[in-house]
Amino acid sequence: MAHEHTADDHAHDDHDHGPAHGWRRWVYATNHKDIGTMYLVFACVMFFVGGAMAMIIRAELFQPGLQLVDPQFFNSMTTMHALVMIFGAVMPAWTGLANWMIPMQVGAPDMALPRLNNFSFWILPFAFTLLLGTLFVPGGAPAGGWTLYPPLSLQGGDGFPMAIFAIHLMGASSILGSINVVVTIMNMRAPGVGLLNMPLFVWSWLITAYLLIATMPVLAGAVTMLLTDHFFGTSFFSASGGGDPVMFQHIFWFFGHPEVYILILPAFGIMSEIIPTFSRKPLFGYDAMVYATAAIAFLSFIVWAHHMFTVGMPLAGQLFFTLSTMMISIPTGVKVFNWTATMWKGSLSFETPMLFALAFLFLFTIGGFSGLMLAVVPADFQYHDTYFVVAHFHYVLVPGAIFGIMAGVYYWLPKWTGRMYDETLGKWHFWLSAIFVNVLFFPQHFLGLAGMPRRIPDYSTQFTDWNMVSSLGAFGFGLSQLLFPYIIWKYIKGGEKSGARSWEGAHGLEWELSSPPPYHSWADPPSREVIARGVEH
Amino acid sequence: MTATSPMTPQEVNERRAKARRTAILLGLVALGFYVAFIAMSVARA
Repeated sequence: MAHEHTADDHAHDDHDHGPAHGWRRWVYATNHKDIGTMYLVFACVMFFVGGAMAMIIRAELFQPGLQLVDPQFFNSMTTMHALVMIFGAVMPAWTGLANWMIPMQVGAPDMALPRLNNFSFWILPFAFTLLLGTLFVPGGAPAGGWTLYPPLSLQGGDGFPMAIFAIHLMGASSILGSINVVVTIMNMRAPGVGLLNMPLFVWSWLITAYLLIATMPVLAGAVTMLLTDHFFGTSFFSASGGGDPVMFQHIFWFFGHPEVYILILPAFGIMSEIIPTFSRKPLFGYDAMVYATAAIAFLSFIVWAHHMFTVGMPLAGQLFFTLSTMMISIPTGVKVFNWTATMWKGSLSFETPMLFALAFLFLFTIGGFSGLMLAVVPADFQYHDTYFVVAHFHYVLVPGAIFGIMAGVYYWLPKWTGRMYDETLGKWHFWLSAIFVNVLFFPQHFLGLAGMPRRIPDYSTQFTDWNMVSSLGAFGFGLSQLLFPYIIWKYIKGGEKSGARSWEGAHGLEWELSSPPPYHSWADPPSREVIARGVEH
Repeated sequence: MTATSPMTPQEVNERRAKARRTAILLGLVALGFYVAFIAMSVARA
């Protein structure tokens, strides 16, 4: 990368050095690539921790009766699995990808607030030490579900305040990370990179960051009130003191539903990068994709009560939340059809990132359809708190969010490291994941429709067969994920060299940089020619 | 490749100030949501 110091060497003072050596490089990291790497490694570790918890759940549910763990610990596993996967695996993975890619994609030298970036990351290990530490204190880890509904969650032992503090820390980390993303995109874009020619990954992250800034404080407020109810004698959610436990559910889901889109919108952005690349065509309907993402984000704020139809609400409320929920399928449909139209008559090839993207397209859509079924009030009364709901949101979050992350990592890994991964192993990873994820979650639709409740360690014998199938799928899926770190380790040891443009059809400013990119990329803004080649329009 | 001219110190300072202002504003928005939801709950309870 040409580095022309003409008028302002002072401005580049921070960019003239390479990485520090040893632990200082990571503890004092302010470089967006280093921090991105730390986020991704952290997310990978948490993915396996949360995955181990899922294995305990599925091992217990392999057959009826109590086999391996006591019911309290089982409930702790369901609660902790959700908290670890949502806040420890998926969200940090997205932040890691944002850190790596956003500055390179908008032609910025780094994130706008590098020291804040360091702080945002380093909060997380403390938060999760605290959260996982609840497993070892009297009373055990939280066991009332990740939704923390009172009064059940207030009956926790010593782990309760630890979990609440951990959630505050995770929220602070997310908010600070999001502020950094917004400030970077709004202030650090290179001249010539306009809002409506940014890559869709940047757009989806911009909208996600606004969602986070608006909703994480709401979760923080809710858990602060839980804490005061437990320790300071307030009665926000205690009916005996004049409070209202249902109010917690409203507040929680005002956060909780946008949170679902926080977990999935960046995946939409990645699909909009990968599908055009491997179709060797520009994205169909760029503007419509941006507006659809914004519409999904807006609608996510006005649908929260569909999670709690069974608490009872006026007919007008039921109708409003049913219809507003169904409306989300319109912008989502725009996106799915635009991705399909992008592939139409394209020169398709099926490397690992594209395979994950296609699986995302099919399987996330299944999760979307079961979401529409849950939006219908009378049907929801039947499905609520059954395994149908578990199947629905796992179709959204595993082949949705997790496959999106996998697709993004396989897509950009050659850019980050300058080496190609082993394509054969990548395809093995994909096919094993895609087959086992369906063996794992599809039978849960049948279990839910037949009436099997969620969050129970034991069940009636008529549910045995599909539970066995689901558990076998879980073990297969869990084992196949071990391929992922192996593939990364193997190619770090010496994969084939990658050029600057690792994929033939790749398009964007990041592909104008060498592979791997310089430690300080875009220290000078990209030239007009580079921008003309790299931006969307 | 025609490089875009590097930013002047004044432009860099302006950008830093603008970034700081945006960050503070967003932080206040987040704080506002936190306080507003607790205040709303106090009013209801």
